[in-house]
Amino acid sequence: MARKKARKKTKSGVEMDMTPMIDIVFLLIIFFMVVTELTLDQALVILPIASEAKIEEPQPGSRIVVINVSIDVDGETEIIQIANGDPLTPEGLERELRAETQAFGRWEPNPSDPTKNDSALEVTIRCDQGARSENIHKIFAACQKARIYKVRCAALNDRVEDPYSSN
Amino acid sequence: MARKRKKPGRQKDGAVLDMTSMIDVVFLLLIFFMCATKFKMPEGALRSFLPRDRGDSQSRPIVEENCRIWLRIEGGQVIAIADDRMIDPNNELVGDFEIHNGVPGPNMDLIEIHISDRKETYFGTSGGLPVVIDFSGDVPWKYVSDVLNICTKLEIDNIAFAAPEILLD
Repeated sequence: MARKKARKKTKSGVEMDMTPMIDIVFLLIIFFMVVTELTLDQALVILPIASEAKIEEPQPGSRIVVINVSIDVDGETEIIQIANGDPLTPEGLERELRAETQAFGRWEPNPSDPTKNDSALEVTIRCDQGARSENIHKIFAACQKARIYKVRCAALNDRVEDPYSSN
Repeated sequence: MARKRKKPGRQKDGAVLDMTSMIDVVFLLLIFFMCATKFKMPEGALRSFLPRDRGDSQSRPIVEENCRIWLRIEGGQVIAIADDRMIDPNNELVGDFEIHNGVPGPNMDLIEIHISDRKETYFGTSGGLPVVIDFSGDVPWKYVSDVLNICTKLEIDNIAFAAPEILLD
């Protein structure tokens, strides 16, 4: 069928120049290839919807660690991971966060105890809306032990379509 | 740039390149990537900074006046208690999440009204009304996030998440 369409010479003898179409099609392919590669970097998490969720631009010099809490394909197991890394236990998460704070190296004096410092590292928790909330307890505890206090919970704004509505 | 090409299918010796199969493959690739691509949706965040002035302990009892929202699961259903007031569940499945799971949740409008009333009648000394969200570990995160969203909407800064009790020896 495609071969019939691809004939460049019509009955009237007019030649069709397919070059611009091929250019555009190649551009589209390159665009979709690049975009697909980017979206594969994220864990599959269905975020809750919150009308007050604000999109905040990261401050210059800040660093945000993203912790994903997703539900495995079996629907039972819940996975905690930093970005798209290996699944972590609460102890492993604490260890990773401590390493992140050391690597970042920016500290703020604690308001109640100036001899102690809190990390300026920021954490965004991307928790699946169907995941059990005990994961948040674990993450909060790990953050507190790693002296991280800037924690945010990711959510979709009302304006964005609910992912379940397509099912 | 593409226009500079002269007669793309024909070479100097008069041989014609059949581009049909290449175009077929290219279109197949295009359709595949169009179907496989899922665009990243813009994500916001609810601020839930952890307390900095409570030392190293993971949890400590809160003795000042506060508004406590309990979230528990009983009989497969999420139950909400605002202070000592039982929040009625929704009569029907509200939202796509509940339709997907088939279990109705608590009426979030009633929780919002309760917190708003408490905020108006709060005359404490420690800034705004402290709200404690006390949830059991098996509650879906969506409902905790909904309560957090209500607190943010009502401009409540003093939000605490109740941590599991640590038993003393």
